[in-house]
Amino acid sequence: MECSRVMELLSEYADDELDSETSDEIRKHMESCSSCKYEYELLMGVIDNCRRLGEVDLPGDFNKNLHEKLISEGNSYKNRYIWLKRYGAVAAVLILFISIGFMVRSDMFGMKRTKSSSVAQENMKTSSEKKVQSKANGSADEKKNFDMNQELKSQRGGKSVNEISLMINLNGEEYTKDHQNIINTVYRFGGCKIQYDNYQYKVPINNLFKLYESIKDDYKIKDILLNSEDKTLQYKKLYEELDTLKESEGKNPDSADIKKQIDKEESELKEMDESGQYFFVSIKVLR
Amino acid sequence: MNFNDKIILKVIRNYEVRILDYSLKDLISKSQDGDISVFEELIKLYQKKIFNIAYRMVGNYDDASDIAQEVCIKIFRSIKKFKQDSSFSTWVYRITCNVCIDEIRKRKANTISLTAINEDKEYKIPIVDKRGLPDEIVENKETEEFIMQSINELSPEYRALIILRDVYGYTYIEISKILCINIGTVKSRLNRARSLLKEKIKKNELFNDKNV
Repeated sequence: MECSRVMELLSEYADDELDSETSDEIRKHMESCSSCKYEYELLMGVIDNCRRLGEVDLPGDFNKNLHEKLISEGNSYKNRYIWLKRYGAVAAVLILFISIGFMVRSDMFGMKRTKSSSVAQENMKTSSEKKVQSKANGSADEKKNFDMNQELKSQRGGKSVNEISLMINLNGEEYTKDHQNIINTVYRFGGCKIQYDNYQYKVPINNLFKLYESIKDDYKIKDILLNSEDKTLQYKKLYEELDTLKESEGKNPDSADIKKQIDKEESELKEMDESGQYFFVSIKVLR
Repeated sequence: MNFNDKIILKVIRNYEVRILDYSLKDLISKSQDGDISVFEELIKLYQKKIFNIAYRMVGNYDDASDIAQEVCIKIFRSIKKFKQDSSFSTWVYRITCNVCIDEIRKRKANTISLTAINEDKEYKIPIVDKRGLPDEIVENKETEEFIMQSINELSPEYRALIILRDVYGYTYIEISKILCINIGTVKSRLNRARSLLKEKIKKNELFNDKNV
């Protein structure tokens, strides 16, 4: 075998990819050819050093950055999909109307448009009325109302998902010094503690993942339930007002007005607690 | 399924996915439904290798991180197109190599040659303070840096071959599937890439004196 042929096959020879006959020929050739033998040894040195390169660790913030990008990617995908779904339908209707416009007289088309506008207005009005009426009813209607609100918000281009709340539930027996840490964390993410349960907290859904990231190493999430629409801000306001009232009560323990006000706000909060209007997330403190 | 149910599933998965025992097929299938948390679990199985391939391809830790993120996002975007009857890892590393090759070409098109990068010391290898280290470790480190630099002077296609074969030990068949080239091309390109590496090494005194 000639040196040029050996050089052509050297890489495969090094990888043991040649048939035994060709391999033997190369081996014999190298026994008598120092130049080819040197090339082979050099090649084996290259391969050996490449194999020793090993692996490097991922950057510490790799998963965090990827998570943020994926969330943003997921949202833009969702938006594209919603856009396509929504405006695709609008485009289809427009094309239909334009087609009809070509086929019928212009005054007739005008009449149709006026009629459809008034129907749309009527629908909007009905939805608003239903919304108000539904709010006054029980939770079954409230769920329906919630869906309708989502639909209305979607029509206005609002980010309805961000308007739902999260409730975190700590196991009673594990209510320890960690409580203050949790309160601080929850507050940092725009949430608050729930008045009638020392182990429950609420956080806006848009901070759910951030909160999770900051507590995941210390607490275990047990279960999550979502029942209804967001009332976090309303709840938080009431809760803070109640705190202020209680402070005032401490200074004026005999004030009947303050007591009355406290009772009123406490019952409102209790009503909100019992209506199950939030995400529930159980967190177990790891020991 | 109404809006509320969707949210419940999404959140529950995000919290519990770590303890659920999904098969690879399930992870892929759920990721194809757009489930980000499941996709994160799936990509964790590959992300270190994606990052390492990118790192060996571009020779820069920060750039490799950006490229690996781009690869992951690209996989997320196109996972719906993946057919379960083919190898997921092959598909993942094909995307990885393609993104790296495109990125290197893009840089070249921007008139920043890799040689120039190396000369300007922008070519970044994690710097290790070699003072106080045993001679053997210092030599190994220097050899590693030299090998990395030599690989990075090759064309992106040759780099991919060297990395897949000599760094990660993929078979010719696997490489042909990852790079979408036939086995004959794998053999001839690999031989050429290795010859080029040898030539660079021959010119290097350090390598000649100490390693061969």
